[in-house]
Amino acid sequence: MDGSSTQWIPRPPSTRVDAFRGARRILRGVAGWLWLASAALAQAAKIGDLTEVRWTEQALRFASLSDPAVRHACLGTVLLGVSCGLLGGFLVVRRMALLGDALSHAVLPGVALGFLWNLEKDPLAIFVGALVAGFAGSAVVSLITRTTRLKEDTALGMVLATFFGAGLCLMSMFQRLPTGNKSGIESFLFGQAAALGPGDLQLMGVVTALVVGMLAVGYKEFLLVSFDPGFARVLALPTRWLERVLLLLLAFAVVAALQAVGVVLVSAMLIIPAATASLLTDRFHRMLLWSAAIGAVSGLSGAFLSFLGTRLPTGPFMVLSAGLFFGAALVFSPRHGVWPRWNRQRSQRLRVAQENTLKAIYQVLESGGFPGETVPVGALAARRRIDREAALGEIGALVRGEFATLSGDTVALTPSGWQRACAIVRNHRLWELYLTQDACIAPDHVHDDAEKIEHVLGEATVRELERRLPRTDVDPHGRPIPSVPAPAPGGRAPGDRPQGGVIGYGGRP
Amino acid sequence: MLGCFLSAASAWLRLRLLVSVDVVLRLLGFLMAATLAARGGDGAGTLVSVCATVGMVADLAREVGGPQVAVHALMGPGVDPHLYRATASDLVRLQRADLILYSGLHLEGRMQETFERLRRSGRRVAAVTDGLARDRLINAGGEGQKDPHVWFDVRLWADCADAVAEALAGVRPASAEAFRSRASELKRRWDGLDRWVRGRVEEIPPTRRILVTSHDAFGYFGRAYGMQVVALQGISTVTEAGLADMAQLTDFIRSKGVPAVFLESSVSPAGLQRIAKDAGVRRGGELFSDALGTPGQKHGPFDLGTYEGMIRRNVDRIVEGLK
Amino acid sequence: MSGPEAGSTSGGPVAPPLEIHDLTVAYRDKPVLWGVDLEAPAGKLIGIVGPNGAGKSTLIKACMGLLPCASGWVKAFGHPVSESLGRIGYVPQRESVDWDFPVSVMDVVLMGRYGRVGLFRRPSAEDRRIARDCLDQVQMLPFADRQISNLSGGQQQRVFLARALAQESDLYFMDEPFAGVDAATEASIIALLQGLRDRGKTLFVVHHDLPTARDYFDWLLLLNLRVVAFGPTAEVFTPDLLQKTYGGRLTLLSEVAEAVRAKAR
Repeated sequence: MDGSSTQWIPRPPSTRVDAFRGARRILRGVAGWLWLASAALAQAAKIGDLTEVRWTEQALRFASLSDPAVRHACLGTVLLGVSCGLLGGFLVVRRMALLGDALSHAVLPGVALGFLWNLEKDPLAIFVGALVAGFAGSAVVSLITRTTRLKEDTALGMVLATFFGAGLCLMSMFQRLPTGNKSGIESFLFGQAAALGPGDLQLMGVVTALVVGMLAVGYKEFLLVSFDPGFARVLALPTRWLERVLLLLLAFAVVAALQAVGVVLVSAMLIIPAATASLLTDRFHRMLLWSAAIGAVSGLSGAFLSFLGTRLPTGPFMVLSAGLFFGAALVFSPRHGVWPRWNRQRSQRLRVAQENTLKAIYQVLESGGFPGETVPVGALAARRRIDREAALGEIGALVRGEFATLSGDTVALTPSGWQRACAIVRNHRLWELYLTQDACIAPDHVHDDAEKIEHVLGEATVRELERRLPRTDVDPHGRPIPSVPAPAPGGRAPGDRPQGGVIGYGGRP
Repeated sequence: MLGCFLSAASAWLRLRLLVSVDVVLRLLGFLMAATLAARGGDGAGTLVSVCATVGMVADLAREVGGPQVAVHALMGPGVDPHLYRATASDLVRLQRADLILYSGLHLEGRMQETFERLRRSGRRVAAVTDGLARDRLINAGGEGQKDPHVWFDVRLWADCADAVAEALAGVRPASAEAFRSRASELKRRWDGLDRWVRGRVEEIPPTRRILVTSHDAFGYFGRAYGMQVVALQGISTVTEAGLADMAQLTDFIRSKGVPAVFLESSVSPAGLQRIAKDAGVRRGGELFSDALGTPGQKHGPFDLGTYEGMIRRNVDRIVEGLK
Repeated sequence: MSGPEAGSTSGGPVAPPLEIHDLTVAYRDKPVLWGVDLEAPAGKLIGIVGPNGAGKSTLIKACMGLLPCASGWVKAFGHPVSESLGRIGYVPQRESVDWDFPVSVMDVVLMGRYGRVGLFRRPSAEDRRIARDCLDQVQMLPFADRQISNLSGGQQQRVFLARALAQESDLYFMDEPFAGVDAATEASIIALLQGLRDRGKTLFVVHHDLPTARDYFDWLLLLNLRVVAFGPTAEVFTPDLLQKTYGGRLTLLSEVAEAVRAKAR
C-alpha cells in the first residue's frame, strides 16, 4: 500500500437539506466508513496489493486444486507440456530446433488475422489463422532453399523475423480498432495461462490427443523418416506425407500452446524438455516419454510457482522450471552428467593410487626375496619416495579398502590385497613383455607405458596376452611374473604357469 | 539452463531490435511529417485546431473551446491509452495541430517521448492535469507516481478545465476571456453532475459499495464517492494478472458478498470473466474506463461520446449492478 | 509389396534384375550422369568403379528414385522401379545418417523389416528373429543393444549391411560399403556378399579401390559421367579401358558438362 494518509471523510450535508436527512446520511456514512475500515482499507487497490499471501498457504491451496482457475491452468499446462515435449523430441534429434523457433514466431500474423475475422477472441479462427501463417512460413522457407544458394538456417531466420514483424505491425493496427484491446491479442506475445477458458482447454485437449495418437500409431514410420529418409523412400514409405504430418502436428502444438506461454516462449517449451530427455536416455522411445513427462512437470511447476505469490506470470516460470530440469540433468544424469563423471574419475584415481601402493609393497617384499608377510612403513615410504606422513596416508586408504592391515610400524597385506598386488605386477610385466616381444619396442622404453596400462587391463585381455606370448614367467628385465591367484602369501614360489584354463585374474574384493 | 537463457536472451534481443527498427521508422515518418506540415495557421477567423489524445480530453477541449476550436481525438472508443503507440499518421496530425492536449500523469504511457519531441520542436503541448495540486492526487506505486485516472472524480476533472482554458488562451489570446468564462460555466454544470453521482451512489447499501473491475482505473471514483475499488490488474494494463491474483480476487468477492463485477470497454475481459464464473457472481455490464463511448449512441438524452454521457452511463450501470 | 520372383523356372523370358535406358541426371544445371544404358544379368556381384565425381553414388540413387532423372527410365525385374521398390535392398553411405541418433543396433536392423511389416503395424516376433539372424551373419549380435554412436566405422558398416539383409531383397545397391573399414571386416563383408550372390541375388556395389575390385567382383561397371564399359571383370579390367575411365579431368565430356553449367548460370 502506498502509505498515504488520505482518509475518506464523510462530506457534510449541503445546507439545503434538513438536519434529519443530514444526520441519517452522516450515520450511514460513518457506518459505511467503519465497515470499510474494518476491511483494512478505504481506497482502491489492485488485488495483489490488497491481500498478503504466504507461500506456504498458497502451496497447500494449489495442491488441493480447489480453485477452478488453478485446475484449468494445471490441465492446460500439462497438456501443452506433453504435446510440445513429444514433438520437441523430433526437433532435437533431427537438429531442427530453429524450425520450432521460426514456426512459433511466424504464426503471429496468422493469430492477428484470426482476431480480425471476428474482432474478438475466437479460438477456431485463431487456430486456422495461425496454421495458415505457419504453412505460409514453411512454404517460403522451402522456396528460398530450393531456388537460391541460401541454407536453411538463413531462410528460417529471415522468415522468423519478417513474419514476427508483420505480426507486430498488425497488432499495432489493432489498437486503433474499437474492440481491438478487448480482444486480448497482447496476451499472445507472452501468454496468460491464468485466463485459460474451457474453449482453449478443449482445443489443447484435442491437439494433444491427436499428437499422442498419431505418434503411437505411426511411431516406427516417424522414427525411420527422422533417422534415414533415404532408406525410408527405398522401402516405399510415403516419406513426404509423413514429414508433412509431422510439420502439421508441430504447427498444431505450437498454436495450442500460444495461449499459455505466448509466441516468444513456445520454442523453449519445445526444445528444453526434449534436450533434457536426450541427456537421460539413449533410446528414442524412452526419450519421447521422458520429454513428455518433463514437459508436463515443467508446465505444472510453472503454474505452481506462479501461484505462490501475486503478480507472477505463469509462462516464464514454466520455461524457468524446464531450464532447471535441464540444469539438473546436465549435472546429475547418470550417463552424461557432470557429477557422475566426476565421481567416476575420482573413484578411478583412488583405485589407481591404491594399486600403486600395493605394487610398491609387493616390490619391497620381492626385493627382500619374500622374507615374510610384513613390510615396515619406512621401507614403503622409501620405495615410493614419499615421506612417512604420506606413506601412512596411503596405507590408511589400503586399510579402508580392506587390502592391508597396519599394526604398529608394519603393514601386512590381506589375502585380497595380496591378490590385487600380484595382479597389478603381473599386468605390468606381461605388458612389458608383450611390448618388447610383439611390438618390438626397446626394453627401456616400456616401463612408463606399462605404468599406465597396468591399471586398465581387463581379464579377457590378460588371457589373450598369456595365450599369445610363448613364455610368461620372466619379464624383459628378468624379473619373475607372478601368477594369480595366490591366496596364501609368503612361501609361494611366484612364476608358476597357470594350470588348465583357470587364470583367475584377481578381481575386485 | 543455457538453452533457456539463450532463448530468453535471443527473444529479448529480437524484441529490442524490432523496437529500435520501429523507432527508426517512426523517426523517419516524423521527419517526413515535419517537412509536410510546415504551415501552422494562426490567423483570426480560423478555428484553432486541437489534437487531443483520449476522448475525455477531447471532450474538455470541445466544451471549453466552444465554436472556436476543431478538436480531433487520436484514440477513439475502446482504445487502451496505456498501450497505445503513435503511428505515422498520428504524428502528421500532431504536427499540424495548433495545440496538443494530453491527459498527463503517464496515462499515455508510450507517447511520452513523442510529446517531448513535439515540445522541443516548438509545438504547443499541454497536459490537462498539470494545474491540479499534487496532494489531491492518489499515489500509485513508488517514486512519486500518481494514478492518472483523474476524470472519474468529476470535481477534479472539472478543475482541469482551467488548464485547458489557459492553454487555448496561449494559442488564441484574443479569445482568452471567452475560454475562461466557458471554463467556469463548465465547472458549474459539472458540479451538478457531481451531486447527481453522489445521490446515485448513496442508493447503494453501504455493505455493497464495492466496485470490482479489470484494472485499477476507478481509484478517484472510489475516493470521491465512497466506494471500495478492487481490481485484477494494476494502474496500467501492461502487467499480466497472475494465477494467484485471480484466486485472491475470487476469495475476496465471495467473502465480501459482492453482487456483481464489471468488465471494461477497452481491456480484455478474459481474466474477469473467469473470476465471475468461479465466484458465481453476475457481470454487471461494461464500464467505460479509459475511453468514451461511440459518439452518436445515446444513454437517455446524453451522448455517449461526451464525458457527461460516459459518467452517467457508468454510474447508472454501477448502481443497477450493486443495488 | 513383393513382386514376381526373379529367375522363375517356368522357362519364359525372365526380366533382368536391372535395366537402365538412357538415364541422364543433372544437379543444378550440371549433368552428372549422361545417357547411361545397361542391362544387368541376374546373380552377379557387380562393382561400380570410377574416379571421384564420376556419378557412382548418383547412379544408384537415381536407380532407386532418390534423385530425379532428367531423362531415361529404370526398370527392376521388368517393372518400373517405383513399383518394385519393395524388392530392392539398400546400403547407404555411412555419412548419410546422424550416428548420434538415440537408437540401438537392433532398432536399426529392424528398420529393414518395415517394408514387410506394413504401415502402422508393429514388427512381429518373426521379424525380430530375422533381424537377430542378420546381425549374427555380420557378427554383430553381441552389440544388439548398443547405441549406434558407440560403434567403430567397420561396425557401423556391418549394421547397415545387416539392415539390408533383413530386407530379404533380390537386388541390392550398396554405396561404398568398404569405406573406412578395416581389412578383417572387409574380408568378412565380401564373403557375405559372395554368399548372397551364390543364392541368386544381384548386387551393385560402389567401390573406390581399384586393385581389390578385380578380385572381388564378377562384373564391373566403369563409370565416368557415362558408361565406359560394363561386363565381366576379366574383359573389362584392361589398361586402356581403365585409362579411359580414370584418365585426366579434361575429357571432352567433362568440358562440355562445364560449358553447359556455365551457360545455365
